[in-house]
Amino acid sequence: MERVTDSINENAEHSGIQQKQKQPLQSELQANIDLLLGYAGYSDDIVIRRFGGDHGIKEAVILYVEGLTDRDTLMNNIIKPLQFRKPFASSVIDELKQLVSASDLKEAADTDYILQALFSGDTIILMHGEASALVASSKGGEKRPVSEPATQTIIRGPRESFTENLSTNTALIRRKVKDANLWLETMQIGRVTKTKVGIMYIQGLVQPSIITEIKQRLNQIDIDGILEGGYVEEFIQDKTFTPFPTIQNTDRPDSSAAALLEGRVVIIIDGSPFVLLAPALFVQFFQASEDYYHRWDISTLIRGLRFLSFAIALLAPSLYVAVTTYHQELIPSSLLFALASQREGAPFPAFIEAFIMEIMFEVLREAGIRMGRAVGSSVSIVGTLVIGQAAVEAGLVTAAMVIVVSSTAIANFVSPSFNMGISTRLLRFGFMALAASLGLYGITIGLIILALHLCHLTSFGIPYMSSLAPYYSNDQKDALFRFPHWLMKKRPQRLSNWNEEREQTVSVQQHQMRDKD
Amino acid sequence: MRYAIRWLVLLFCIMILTSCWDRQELNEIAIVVGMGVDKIDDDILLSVQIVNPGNVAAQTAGSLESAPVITYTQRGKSIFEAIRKLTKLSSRKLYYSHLRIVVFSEQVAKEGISPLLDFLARDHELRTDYYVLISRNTEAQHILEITTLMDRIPANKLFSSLETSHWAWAATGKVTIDRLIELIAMEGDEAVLTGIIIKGDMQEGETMENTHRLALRTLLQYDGMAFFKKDKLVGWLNEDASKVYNYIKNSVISSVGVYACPEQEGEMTVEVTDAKSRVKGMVRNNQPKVKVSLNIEVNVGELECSMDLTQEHTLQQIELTLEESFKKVVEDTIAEMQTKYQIDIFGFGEAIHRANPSYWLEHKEEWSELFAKLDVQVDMDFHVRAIGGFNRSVPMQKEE
Repeated sequence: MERVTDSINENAEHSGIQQKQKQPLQSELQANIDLLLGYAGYSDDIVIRRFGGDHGIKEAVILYVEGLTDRDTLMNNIIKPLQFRKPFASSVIDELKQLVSASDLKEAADTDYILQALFSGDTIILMHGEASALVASSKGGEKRPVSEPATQTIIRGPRESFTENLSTNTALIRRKVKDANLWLETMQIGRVTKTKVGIMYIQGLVQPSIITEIKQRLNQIDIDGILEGGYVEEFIQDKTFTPFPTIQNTDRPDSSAAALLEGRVVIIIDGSPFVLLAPALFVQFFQASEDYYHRWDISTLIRGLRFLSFAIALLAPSLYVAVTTYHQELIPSSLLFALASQREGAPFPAFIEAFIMEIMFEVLREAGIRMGRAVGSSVSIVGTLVIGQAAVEAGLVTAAMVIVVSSTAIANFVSPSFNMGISTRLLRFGFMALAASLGLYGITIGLIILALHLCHLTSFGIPYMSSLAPYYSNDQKDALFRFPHWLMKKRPQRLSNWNEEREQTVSVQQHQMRDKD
Repeated sequence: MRYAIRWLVLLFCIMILTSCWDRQELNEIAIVVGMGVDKIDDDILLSVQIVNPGNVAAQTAGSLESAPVITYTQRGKSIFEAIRKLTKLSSRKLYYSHLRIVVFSEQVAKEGISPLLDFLARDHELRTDYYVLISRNTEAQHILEITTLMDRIPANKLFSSLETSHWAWAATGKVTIDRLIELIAMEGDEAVLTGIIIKGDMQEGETMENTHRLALRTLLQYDGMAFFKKDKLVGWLNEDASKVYNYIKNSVISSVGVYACPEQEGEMTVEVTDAKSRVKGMVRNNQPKVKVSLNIEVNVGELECSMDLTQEHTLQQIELTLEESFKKVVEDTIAEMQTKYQIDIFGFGEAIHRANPSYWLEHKEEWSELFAKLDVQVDMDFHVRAIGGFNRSVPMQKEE
């Protein structure tokens, strides 16, 4: 945290916002109010309330920002005691320290700190003749209640999801992992937004090198604002020029807890209901939390289905284009006749046809996301009628192509993580172009390049394809398959290679560590 | 970044520089499913059966307005020339990878087919999994001009009915082009190809009206097998001989045989469920000798006589009868080939070759004469495995 403030001062001139060393508080009350309000531009949402000033009661003023404070705390613990003050002999600051019953009460003279506390929802108490202020914790205000996950929905399992509030999110995780070794460190990123970012990990499970690496990368972020985890993700990921996500995100506390237990790190960004899980491996993007709640055999089957869907979503249109335009001999005769009969009179080459359909589908999908829920259904109706039926009946596209494109789309939706799904969509077009120019040969080239690229990727130093390449026989229990829980005795090898046994509790390790200290 | 751009440029080069060398859309090709070869004077008359895709798919199959296939015929000095000349008739490039059958007319086969096989085996576009047939008593061209029902593509119909009848009846043979060339080239074995005839009126069979009837007036039917001496057709095997050929060649999967009941009036029909043959050649005292062992498993399929199948000796009796009568058929067939044609279609020469290569090298030139005098011993072993749904035949129940 210190480093962040340092950098703010160092680079003050780079930022367009007034960041120069602020004047500290003085002993004159009105001057202090003016000082603070002046820095905040006399914003109208700052509420000022004066207390005392007569009958021997020294004047005190509270400042808070409307909507950021918790009403009850403010009324009962700060305003009420101040209102019914009796004359007091000793200094006003000692008096208020006794009266105000906030959960956290600090004395501060640093204007920067006071302003930041003010805009985080704390109440500032300025007193007559004091060159310092009291900062009473009163954070609160409107926040969304914990609701059902909107993105990673499941049939069986907990139905709570993260909210935009960091402390709610950490609490949700703590409720699942009730161990003292679950450590939370927070830091502030974003020179203007001053967003709170928390890293959570289970001390003793996580590799210390990964923690150091993550903290170092987070510290290096220099940006005016962090509005979502995506900002952070882009700054700290190992490789920018890859279509594949190397950091996972989730809005599910149970997935986060599971990640923590595997020795991974959860990065929580205040203001976003999505937390980041790092390091993330390729196979983990095909695992849903539900896999672990259903029977292992069913889960294994479904996981296999996901990998199959990934292949379909990636390759189906390109295989169709390649086989029908280059390798007709590969198609069984009767299927070929059926396809050929559809192609009769088709105006576009297969590749152009596939391309148009894929683009149309992507447009539809984007429209479905951007439009509100109310119009969403009309988008799908238009889409089905226009793309599905009218285009085929008009003879503009073949029915087989519609089948290929729609099965591709559906296969794409199977992906439990949205960002892996996007990668697939992106790569699909590349494969289609390769298929159209080189046939199956092109697809093979593409797959080889893809495999090389995937094996080249790392996530916080861990090979992206871990457990497959490099191959860890131990980790096969939870890669392509999902073994019964009693067989998953060890944690993923590369993630926690110093504390593998799941039964072995963290505390054993922990005591040893303390002894060392 | 630079690295990524470099890759993209390379990928782009792959795409634009290689160009689309053999890209062909499905609506730019004409799928050839059947090919017929006839001869006029010294020229070749090549017929190809092309699928009319608009009229074969499931949704349009109901409409009988136009034919599901088109047959083009073109004259040329060679097959390849005729193929290229066919583009004068067809609006699309002919595509041969889905060829199902090639028909040689009897006439062409008698003159020798090896000059014609070269293109079929050499060209890269053709696969080797189509069957070769001989059109009997008619031109190959006409075989490709007969309409069929159920399987609306006649070549497809021929392909699948050959497979079915080979599987269930065993009097037809599936010979692909590569196997045919092998058989022609092999010393001590000869090629045998299935014959196909047009049953009914040819003129009527060429119209779509033919398929409008319940009992089709004109049909394509497999009939007999043509045997070759090297690449020239010599004669035809009748149904029994065809079966014997398949038994000895170990290519019977299932079949049915009708034999007289032992010691009774009436006939019994047995279903062959498994047939194994072993042809063993040997040379004793400089005399070649071949031993054919047939091991056949049958089920009792139909009985016209009264026999108590619950008795073991009845089954033994049946087995004995089957062995005796089938052995005679086999021996007669072999003897006919030996005396009448001196053509070793059974591959006995190859068996001798395997047994005694040096003897074979010395005598392969005179194999025809040796084959004619060859001592062939036939060992027959029948096993009745199952007797069907009930023990006593209906005639036997009637007697009671």
